[in-house]
Amino acid sequence: MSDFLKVKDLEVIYTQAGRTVHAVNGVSLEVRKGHTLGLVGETGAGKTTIAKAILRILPDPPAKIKRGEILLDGEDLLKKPESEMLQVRGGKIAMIFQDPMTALNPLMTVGDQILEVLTLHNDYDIKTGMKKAGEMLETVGIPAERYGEYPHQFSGGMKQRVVIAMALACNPELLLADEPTTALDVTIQAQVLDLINELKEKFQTSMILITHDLGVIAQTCENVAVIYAGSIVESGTREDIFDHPTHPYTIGLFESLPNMTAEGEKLKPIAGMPPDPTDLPEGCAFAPRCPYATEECRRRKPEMKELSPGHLCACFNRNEPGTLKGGA
Amino acid sequence: MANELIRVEHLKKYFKVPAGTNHAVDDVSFTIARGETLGVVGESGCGKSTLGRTIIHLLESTDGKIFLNDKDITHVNKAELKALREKMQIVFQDPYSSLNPRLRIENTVIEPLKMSGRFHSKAELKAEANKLMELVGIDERLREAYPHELDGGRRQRVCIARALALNPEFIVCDEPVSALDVSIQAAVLNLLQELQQKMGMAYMFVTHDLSVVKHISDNICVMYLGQLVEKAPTKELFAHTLHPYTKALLSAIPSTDIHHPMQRIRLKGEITSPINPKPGCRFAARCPYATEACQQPQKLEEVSAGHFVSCCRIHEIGE
Amino acid sequence: MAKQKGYKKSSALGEFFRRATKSFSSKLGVFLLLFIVLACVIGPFLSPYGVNDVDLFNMYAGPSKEHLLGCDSMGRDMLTRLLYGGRYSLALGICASLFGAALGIIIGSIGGYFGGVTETVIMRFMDVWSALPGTMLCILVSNAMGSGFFATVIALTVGGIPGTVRMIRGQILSERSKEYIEAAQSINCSSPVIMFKHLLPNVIQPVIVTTTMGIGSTMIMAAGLSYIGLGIQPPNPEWGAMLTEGRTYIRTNPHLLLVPGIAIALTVFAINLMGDGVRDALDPKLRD
Repeated sequence: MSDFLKVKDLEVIYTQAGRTVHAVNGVSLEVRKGHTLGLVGETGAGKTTIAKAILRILPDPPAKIKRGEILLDGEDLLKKPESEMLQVRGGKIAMIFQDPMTALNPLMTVGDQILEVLTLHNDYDIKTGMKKAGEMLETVGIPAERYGEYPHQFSGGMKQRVVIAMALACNPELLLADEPTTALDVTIQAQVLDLINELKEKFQTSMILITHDLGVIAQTCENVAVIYAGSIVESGTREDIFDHPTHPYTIGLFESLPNMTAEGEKLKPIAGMPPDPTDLPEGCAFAPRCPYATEECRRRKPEMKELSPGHLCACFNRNEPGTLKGGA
Repeated sequence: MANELIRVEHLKKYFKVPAGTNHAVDDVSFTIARGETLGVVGESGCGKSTLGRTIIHLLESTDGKIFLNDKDITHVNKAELKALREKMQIVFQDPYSSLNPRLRIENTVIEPLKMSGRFHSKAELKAEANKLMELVGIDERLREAYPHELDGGRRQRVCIARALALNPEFIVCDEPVSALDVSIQAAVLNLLQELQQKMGMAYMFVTHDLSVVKHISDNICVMYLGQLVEKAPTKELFAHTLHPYTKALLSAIPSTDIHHPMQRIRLKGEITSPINPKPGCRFAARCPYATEACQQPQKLEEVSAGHFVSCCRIHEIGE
Repeated sequence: MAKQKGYKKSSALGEFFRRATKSFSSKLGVFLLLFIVLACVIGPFLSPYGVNDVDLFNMYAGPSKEHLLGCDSMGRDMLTRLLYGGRYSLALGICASLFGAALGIIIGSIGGYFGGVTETVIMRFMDVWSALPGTMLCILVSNAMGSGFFATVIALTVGGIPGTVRMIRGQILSERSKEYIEAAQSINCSSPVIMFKHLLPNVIQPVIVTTTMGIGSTMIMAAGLSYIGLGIQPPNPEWGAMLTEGRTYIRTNPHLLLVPGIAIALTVFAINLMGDGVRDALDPKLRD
């Protein structure tokens, strides 16, 4: 069991105009070497904040990491001085952002942008660097001849490939992918997902894939964590989550999908709305929307408990792994 | 067809751009029956949004004909346009930019009522607006709020209420749920369906998401670079997918079924541009089955009842 | 603040005023400006001295019990002149800026909304207009129209129009493509309704800010005009004129320069604070 990245009890708050936004409330995660963890949740659930906290690129103020540990290979990133973090970012950990249109500098050729990352972390001379950058382009499926072209000459999917090439340039051990395919068309998304899977095999990179799309998770991740209002409500292997979704929120997510196989049935949306992160309910954050909520849920926040080895769920009322009706 | 509401014949919409002519909508024909939903699916830049906007006269068509209730409405004068707009409405993709940030939502809903001239007093307007907002499920306490105080789902409900205000027979839904989270998306889709059952209007549902379109549509058109490549009743389309592009699109959706990974048809390359397209099949450049014959212009042909495909090789490819 | 989220609407104007003066700084701005205006209106009546009473014994006198802000080169009481001159300066600055903004908004929104030939014609005309130096334009108009108060307002207005037009048009260009405008079209809103109800309130913010900021420089420009013998004529005191007059004595009798200088600075400061308040009040996103 080598947990390459371990996040323990992370809490992040934002202070805005005198109000406190509880963005991440005691999140613990583990990513194993060479594995991909899918982090799934809705807008505002705190997914991106976790990724930025790991890279320590949260703007402070307004954001503040209140407590927690982020252990990378046993070293706590939160205790490192900024100078050492510079080496970690882009070197050991790299991030892919959602929008490839704004992640590239429009005034630099794509090759030079990759070269820049390479030379920041390695002692290449220009010639080897350029050769390396060309190779990286080839790796992500772009002919090396396009080294000298500018971002506007690339389509959205190609730009995202360039972004991936930049992220992988220094052979990072951990890749944080924040909705890497959300801005892309489905056929292009399929290509990029295939590419990510291939590269993961090839470089044995660990990855946290952040998305709201359960389908993307199903296609790419070994492990899944479902996040709601800044807390993990259920985590486990892909099989645990997709075959035995247990937490009422996870089940709600599945049921609200317009399923490709169901015919003419009405969708079952989750009632209500995500809670206001400045004013979280005292007990379980999902209780106001939950069909099974009891007095206890409203009073006390449930802890994560193990249902079967590795499958954890934070709910008082669900003690057995669920079964997915219909499907499979 | 007696039941026909909208008929579009060889509709074209070209835009002049610096690089040439953008054939955003190129020779598209279809009909929509009263109270039915036509799904229009395609990727970004395929002209699906332009198509919707052209039909409801937010854009002027370049060529072709549009009929509403068998009446030619392709070219209308100002008074006719005004009457037309009461019959055809639109719900936009982005509920953040489709509401005026400085207008309270109640006033947003009241505005079309005012424009219709059907109501004479403030109290009448308010009562009608209240009725509409109740219909779409906006709480009473939110009616004096500004758009930024609502979440995406609620804003989209306001947009729907605004579109319903004029009692239209036809609503273009331009990706109305793609900006929303799944749990909220489901509620909005349900709302749209309930309203259709209650009020009987027809939808043209424009989206890139095949699973959504399958759920909500009676018929589906698949568009690629301005042209229809396949058109069929929903069940038929999913049971007998014929066009290679539709197949690829279907197989590209990341499935949540982890035990039966779908056989993915890998498409080469990227979507090309609809600016100054060459004659012939526009999908040929990415199509795994393309041959010489595909360089010839393709025609939409009926292969079984109501199922149209624009591909010369379907007989060789099979299902 | 209010605990429950109610959406009660009070009278629109009262609500606007309450929100415009919500923050301390905007309150300060409003009170300061009110004070200055009242002082200028009432002050000269209360003063024991006439505006143009020459007192040769008190030439260049510094501040004293009799003359709180001292006297100028002809022994005229500075405080009286300051308050009296403030009437002109404030009226000129505010009127000319508001005029310029109003005209700029109208022309700019017509150009931006209709686009096409209308826009091209308007914008090219504005290019030519703004290619002429503002000061020269001002002098030309002032020369042609004479030296009355109204003529001076017009002269000061013309230079500010092209900037506003350009700003409004740019804002409208980006706002026009948003979907709520299309939505307004599809529910049969007429062009004037779209322009004044939907577009203008969403583009006007930067104009309000630049207009309030511009009041100060308009006052300076008015001073320039009177310096070269146009605009408000001596011996009528006007802050700008007093400033130019005091310039000569900057080394020997600095109070001649400081008094009108500080008056202008304070006024501009007050207007700017108030401008921020107005901007916040117009933005529903900043509602409590």
